[in-house]
Amino acid sequence: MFEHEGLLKEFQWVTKESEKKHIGESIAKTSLAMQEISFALIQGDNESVDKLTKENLENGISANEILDNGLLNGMSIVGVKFRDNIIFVPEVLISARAMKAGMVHLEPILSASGIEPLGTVLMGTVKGDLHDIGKNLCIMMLRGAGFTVHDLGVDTSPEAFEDAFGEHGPDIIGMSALLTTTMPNMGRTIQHFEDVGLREEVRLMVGGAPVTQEFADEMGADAYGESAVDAVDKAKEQVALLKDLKS
Amino acid sequence: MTNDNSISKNKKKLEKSLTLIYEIFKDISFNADEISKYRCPYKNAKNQCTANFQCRNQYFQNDKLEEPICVGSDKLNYRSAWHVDQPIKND
Repeated sequence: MFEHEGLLKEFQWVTKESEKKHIGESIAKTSLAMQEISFALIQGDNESVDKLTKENLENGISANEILDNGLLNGMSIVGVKFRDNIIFVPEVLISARAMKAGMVHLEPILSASGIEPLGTVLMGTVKGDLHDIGKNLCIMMLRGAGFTVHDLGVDTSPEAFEDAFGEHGPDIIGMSALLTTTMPNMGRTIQHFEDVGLREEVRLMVGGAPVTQEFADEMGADAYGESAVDAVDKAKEQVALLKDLKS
Repeated sequence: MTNDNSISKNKKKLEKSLTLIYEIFKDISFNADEISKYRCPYKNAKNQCTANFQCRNQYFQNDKLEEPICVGSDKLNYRSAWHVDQPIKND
C-alpha cells in the first residue's frame, strides 16, 4: 500500500501496465520510511536522501532493504519519467546525485560484505571547455557500475589532473571535451603525465562528442569511450590491464 | 560456517540489487543519447537552460539570477548555438 502521498502522485507517471504492476507491487510492500527515500530520490532531494538513509541504517534497517525498497524503487520511476519525456537529463542527474548521497552511507556495508569498488576514476572536462553533461552522465554510469569517481569539474588543467592524481591515486583518469578547439588539451594532459613521470601509473581515457577512436589513438590515450555505457566497459578493461601491468 | 553462508547470501542479494540499479542507469544512458539527438541535454523539464556556458538560445527574463529560458527549437541543431568556452556567470 502506498503510504506516501507524494510517491503515489509520482507513481501516476507510470502508465504501462507491466511496469505499473511490477513497480507498484514493489512499492506497495515497503514501509513509509522506504517510500520517503524513494520520493526524495525522485525529487532529487539529496539532503533528504542522505539524512533518511543514515537514520534508517541507525534504526537497524538493512542496506539491502534501503537499496531495494528505497533507492531502486525511486530510480525505477525516474527511469520511466525520463523515457516518457516527463523529465530530462538535468533532472535525471539531480536524482543521480541524490542516489549518491544515499550510497555514501551504504558503501562501508557493501565493502564489509565483500563488494569492493571496481576501481577509482578521476573525471574532468579538459582546460578551456565548460561542457559537463556528457561527463556527468559518464560519472553517473561509472558510479552505478561500482566505480569510485572523483569529479574534477570543468576547465581542468593538466596540473589539476596531476594534483588530483596525487590526492586520490586513481586507476583511471577520464577526460572529456566537447570542442574541437579544446580536444588537443587531452593530448597536452597526456603529455603532461609523460613529462612528470606518471604516465605508467594510470590509464588515461578520453571521450566527448567530437572525439573519435582515431583521435584518441593519435593523442596516445589508452582507451576511448564512445558513450557512457561504452566508457564503463572500457574502464573495466583498463582497470584489469593496469593490475596486470603493475603485478 | 553459518555466518560465512549468511555473508555470502547477503553479498549475492546486494550484488543483485546493484545490478538492477545499473540496468536502470544503462536504459537512462541509451535514452539520453537518443533524446540528445534533437533536444539539448542542458534543457530541463521547465525549458530552462542549466548550462554553465553561454548559448545563443538563452533568454534571460527579468532576474538574471534565475536560470535562463531556452528558446531553441528542438527541430534545429542546438550545438551550433553553444559557446562552451565562455562562462555564463561572467557575462
